[in-house]
Amino acid sequence: MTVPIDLVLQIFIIVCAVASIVVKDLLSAAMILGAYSFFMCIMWAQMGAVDVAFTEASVSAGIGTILFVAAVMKTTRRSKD
Amino acid sequence: MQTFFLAVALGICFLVFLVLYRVVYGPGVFNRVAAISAVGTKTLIILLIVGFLYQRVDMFVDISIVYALLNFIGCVAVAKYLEMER
Amino acid sequence: MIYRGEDIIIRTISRMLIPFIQLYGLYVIMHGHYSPGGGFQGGVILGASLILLLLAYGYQDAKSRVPEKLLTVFSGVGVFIYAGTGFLCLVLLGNFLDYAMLAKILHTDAAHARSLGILSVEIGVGMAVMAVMVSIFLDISTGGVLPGEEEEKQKTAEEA
Repeated sequence: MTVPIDLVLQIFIIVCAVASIVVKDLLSAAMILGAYSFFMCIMWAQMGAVDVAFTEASVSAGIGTILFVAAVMKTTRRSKD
Repeated sequence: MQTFFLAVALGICFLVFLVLYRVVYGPGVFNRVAAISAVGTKTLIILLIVGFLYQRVDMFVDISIVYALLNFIGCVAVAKYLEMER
Repeated sequence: MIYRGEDIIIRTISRMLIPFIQLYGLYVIMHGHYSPGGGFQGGVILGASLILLLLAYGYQDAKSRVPEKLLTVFSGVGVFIYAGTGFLCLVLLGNFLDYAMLAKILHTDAAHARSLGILSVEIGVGMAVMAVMVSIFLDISTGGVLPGEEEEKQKTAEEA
């Protein structure tokens, strides 16, 4: 019943993960990881695990993104490779 | 009713796919900030429609409210960083 | 990231939103047994509201609301409530965290005692997680030296 949503979400997750590695700007990579984390949250919710989805949304998409941005502030913004 | 909700969810997924182009290829960080905020609001609706498909909306409303608040806080954090850099 | 800025829009919106975010965090902690959530998730939401306060107002102005010593006290008190409930059950001749033994103190039946025991454990976890999230953010964004202490250290270094 929810199989098409599952397939489309898989494509989005792969696109976000590859984009966050390929992009050279570290600040943008941290933000794309935040979007990746929220797609993972929908996938957990679609599988029926609502507590795991809640934890993923609040910790990884919220606090995790803020801590990554605060860490990028301490180093250079352009990755060396 | 189930197929109607499924069709609506797939339509919004297509819109998310259009915005993901700006996330990946957007020249500069300002395009990416605005695009990720837009992705956040659309996928909030997808979460609620998944709740309708399982016929238990009241659990999924809680997760949607949390993500709506944390999306705002993330945007403010990135904006503060960009203001400091200039 | 927590230095002074002159943003009136973000300050106004934060002033309107922060009480509601905290109220929602308390709702998530209290209704952990019925809806998704619980102690850890509610603590993260409460910590996110204090981080928004620090981002919008800067550390110098928000120092009175988020003092560093109070955060360490909160995390200690949270763990104390968790372990204290467990040891209280031990003292009352049960196993560790065996909430049914709390029925002797509270004068109710075993089912109500278990429910109230879990609630007190969730409150302890929520307090500890909130304090730890805010203190990790302060540590990462300032590099260990708070903005008010830098001038004091320079003064003591010049005097010595």
